[in-house]
Amino acid sequence: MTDWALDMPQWLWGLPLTLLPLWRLPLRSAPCSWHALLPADGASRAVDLSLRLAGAGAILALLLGSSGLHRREYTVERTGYGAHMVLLLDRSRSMDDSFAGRTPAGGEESKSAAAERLLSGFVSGGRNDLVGVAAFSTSPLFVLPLTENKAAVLAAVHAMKLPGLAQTHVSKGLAMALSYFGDEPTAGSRIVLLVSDGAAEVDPDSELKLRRWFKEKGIRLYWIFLRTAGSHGIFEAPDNPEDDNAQARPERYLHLFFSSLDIPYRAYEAEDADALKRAIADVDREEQRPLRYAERVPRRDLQAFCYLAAALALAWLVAAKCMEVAR
Amino acid sequence: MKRKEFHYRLAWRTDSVQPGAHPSRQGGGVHAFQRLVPFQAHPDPRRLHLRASLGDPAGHFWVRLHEQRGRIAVFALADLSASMGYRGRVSKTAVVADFTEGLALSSNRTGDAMGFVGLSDRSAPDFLLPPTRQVGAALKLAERLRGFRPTGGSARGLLHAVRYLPSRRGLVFLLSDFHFPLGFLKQVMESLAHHDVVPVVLWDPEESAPEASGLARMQDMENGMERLMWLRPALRTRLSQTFLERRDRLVAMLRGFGREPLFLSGGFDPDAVTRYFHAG
Repeated sequence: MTDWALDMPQWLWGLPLTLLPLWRLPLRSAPCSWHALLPADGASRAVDLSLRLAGAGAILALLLGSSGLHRREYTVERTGYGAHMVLLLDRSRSMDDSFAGRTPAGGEESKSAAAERLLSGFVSGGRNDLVGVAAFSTSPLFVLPLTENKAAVLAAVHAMKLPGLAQTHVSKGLAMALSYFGDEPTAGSRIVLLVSDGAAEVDPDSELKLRRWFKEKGIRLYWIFLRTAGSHGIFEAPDNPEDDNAQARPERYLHLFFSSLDIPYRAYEAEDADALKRAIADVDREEQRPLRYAERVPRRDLQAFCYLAAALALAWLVAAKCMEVAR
Repeated sequence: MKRKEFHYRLAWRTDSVQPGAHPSRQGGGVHAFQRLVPFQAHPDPRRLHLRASLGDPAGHFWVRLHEQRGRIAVFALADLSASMGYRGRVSKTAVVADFTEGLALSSNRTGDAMGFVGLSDRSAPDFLLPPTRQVGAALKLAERLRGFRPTGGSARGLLHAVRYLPSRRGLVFLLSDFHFPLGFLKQVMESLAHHDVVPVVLWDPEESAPEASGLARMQDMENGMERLMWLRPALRTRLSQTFLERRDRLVAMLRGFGREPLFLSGGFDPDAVTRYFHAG
């Protein structure tokens, strides 16, 4: 599992140097007339051995430190509950309004702020999702690819609090969200969670492409529609049949388009923060399937430990040198 | 200049015919009375013994025979192996040189001839002075010894020392640190059994009871082996204990060859040598 590696293995040519301290002690020699008269002493032999090993160890540790010893980055297969999920967030300017359709004042919360708060809670909950983030307004914004790094996802979600940009162009956003998923089959489910407060007409070209991709990639789609008070819902049919077209009621037609995709699809209409919370809890509950995913453990530099070991060994050698008999 | 002379005396009688200061078996001198001999054997009318001659029923004349004291050759036989280069409080070769000087002056004062043999690991001596009564030669040799750095890896050469000693029994001072196996010492002493050998053990307080404490990389001067010693009170005590045991062994062993060793620790002390011969 662990995999050790060096950045500059050419330093290892210095390894024979580690034999030097084993051969000679770094102390000045004191002439002695006859060894046979020196009493055998265990403590002295222990000090002798420790000095030799400290010398060899110091050189070895310095060499390993200089050559950049590290543990390589590796991936672990883990099984968890969650899904591959792309959060597709609406960054249109209207998201900065409150649910009442006004610029938030006083204690009111804007739609984007509510969505940010609740989605943050959703992401930091104990799920093992692979989450990607994409946003769209007039054009799609690539924010974050699929990752298990929760901090990055949270940061991307927090970015929703920044003021919105312009229009709502949902088909390009969907296309981008779908492009996050590769062609390979996956163990967990693939989800696109679309959070928007409006919709736009899907042009025929995009429609064809989206139909194909949704089908091919096996996507499950959730749409949380943040309904502003007084606006049209996605489920209600207009009273006036003349109004029943994509230009007048883009939300309804987008819903119809999604329903006709023949994929698992659910739409929620959230008229306030609580409704949004319920919708998110619903998604959370439904998408709890076993998921096998690979977690990347980043590279770990071990140079600091090498240098620490070398420093300790050298400290012992210096101490021994200070204890040397002066002649 | 510091006095370096000492007095030595023999516990045996020499066969030497040359007059000198030591007891001998030769008659005809003026010293102690030995025995009565017939006049014919020693025709010296001055020594005629009247009572013995008159009382002799056969009417022979008897004369008194007195001892003639004799001269011997004294030798300094020095072990010059590398371990004798040890420098503690004083260098051991310097002690050998001091001793040689002292012996040269003392033997000259006593009237004996003095020689010197310095051997290390080879059979050929590093220093050789045949017995001579010229004190200058020995003093010069002592001077050269002071500048000598012994390098021999062992004291094997001592086994050949007897080849450089005279055939007549003499007094031999064996100057060495005795840092070799007792078995070897026994061989050396056996080869020198013909002579009166005084083992002079040159040790230094630094090696037997070092005062330093700390880590020391002890390097054997003869074979170069290294050992780290952590000198601390406990180990210093054991080290002096080892030297005391070694001393006891040497004494016990050398006593069997007729002489107790003379220990000179930390320098040449002429009074210690005199005491060795005259006290006890």
